[in-house]
Order: sequence, then structure tokens, then C-alpha cells
Amino acid sequence: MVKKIDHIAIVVKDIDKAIKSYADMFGFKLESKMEFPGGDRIAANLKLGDITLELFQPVKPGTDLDKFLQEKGGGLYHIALATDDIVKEIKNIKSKGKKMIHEEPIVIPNAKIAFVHPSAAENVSIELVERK
Amino acid sequence: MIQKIDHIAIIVKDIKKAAKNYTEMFGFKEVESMTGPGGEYTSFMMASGDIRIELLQPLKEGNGFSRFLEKKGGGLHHVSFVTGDIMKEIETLKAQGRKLLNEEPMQLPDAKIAFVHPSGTENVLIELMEKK
Repeated sequence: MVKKIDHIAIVVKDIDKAIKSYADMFGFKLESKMEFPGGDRIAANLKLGDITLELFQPVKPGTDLDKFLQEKGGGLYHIALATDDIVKEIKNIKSKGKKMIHEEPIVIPNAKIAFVHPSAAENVSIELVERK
Repeated sequence: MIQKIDHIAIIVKDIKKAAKNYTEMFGFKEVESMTGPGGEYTSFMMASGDIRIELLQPLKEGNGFSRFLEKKGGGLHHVSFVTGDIMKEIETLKAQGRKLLNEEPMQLPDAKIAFVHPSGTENVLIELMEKK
């Protein structure tokens, strides 16, 4: 079962301005900011109490992220829900005939993640996260 | 200060289908169903662990929810933050020259709420909530 909101992802046009806005408005603190060489985005992690926000600024034209910014003006991008057993979640979702973007979890340094297809979840992009 | 996320709201076309979907896919359980003031919309609050998700289905044409559904096909609509002092949050935001959709909190039976205008928050609709 999903247990808590791991983070909420927001697409922004100007990440430095957004970091400052969320700090000024609500007191969010910048935990990390990174840009992967050759990647499609600059990412920043903001924290306030138990709340984590991930900000993404697209840096390459034509990527899905950039299209989201151009077409929708940015905003809420996905929600990440934490689970203890991501393989079980995926199996359950598939057994209901629902589509996953990743049928096998992607292993990242401190977690396993997989995205549910928005068509399965009322046009919401949901990331499942199993933290190590 | 913002203490936690109360809920994330999602606009859907068919609330019964969506509620069944989220229940089956992720194990959400119903907390409360209600129809909004004036019969403008119907809502379904559900929870799994610490996560609360509110599904909203517009029932009338021409309101903000129905425009969101028509324009975007539904999806992530707003994030609700819990604060201990909503008046102080509103004052802070106004002092920074940011806009609110309602400058005075709306009184609900069990809470006071106010919405921050998306223009000040990177195109994210944020609800502030002070619970009684």
C-alpha cells in the first residue's frame, strides 16, 4: 500500500526565482540543486518539515518537460507516493489492467521508482517510490 | 508556518469511476463524500497511510473546476498546506506583493481556508488551511 507523499514535482521556468519564491512565501529550504550533464533539466529539492518539493527547470527544447512548460506554463507535474514494496504495487496495478510507464522499477542511488501511466490515474502522473 | 500537506486535489470527469480506480490501484479508502455549496461539484476524500487525496467532479458548467476539466482534461488541481495561523500566512504573502484568490479566509465547518493565486507560486494553486 502507498503510505505517504514522498514529494510533489513542479515544473518552473526560472528555478532560482522559484527557489526564492517558495523560501520567501512559506519558508522552504533548499536541500540540493543539480544539473546532469547532457540532461534535460535543472532540479532542486526543497524541504519544509515533512514536505518535499522537487522543482524542475527544462534546459533542452523539445523534451517532454519543456513541452509541459510551453503548453501549460509549468505547474504541478507529478506526485510521488512512497511504498514499502514497489514490485507488489506494480503487480497489483497491472492485474487491474492498468498501464505503467515502467513495468520494472528503475533503480536510482537511494530508491526504486516507477511511473504509473497518466491514462490509468485520471490524467495524473504518479511516481511510486520505494526508499532504501 | 506550514506544517504539512493536508491533501492533494485532482479534478476528474467521473468521480465514481475515479474513486474505484484509486481504491483498486493503490488501496485508498474513503474518508468522506460530499456535494459542494450550490451543487457546483461533488468531492470524494480518500486516504492511504498519511496520504489524503481529494477527487473533485464539477457538476455545473462555467465554474473553475469545469473549465479546468474542459481545458486540461482533469488532473492535478491544487495542493493544500496546513498552517497553524492562516492570517499570518496571508499577511506574509501580501507583504511580498503576492496575490490571493481570497484575501479573507473562507470559513468551513472545521477549518479556515484561503487560496494563493497561481501567478505567485509558479502556476501551482495552493490552498492554505487552518484546522479548528
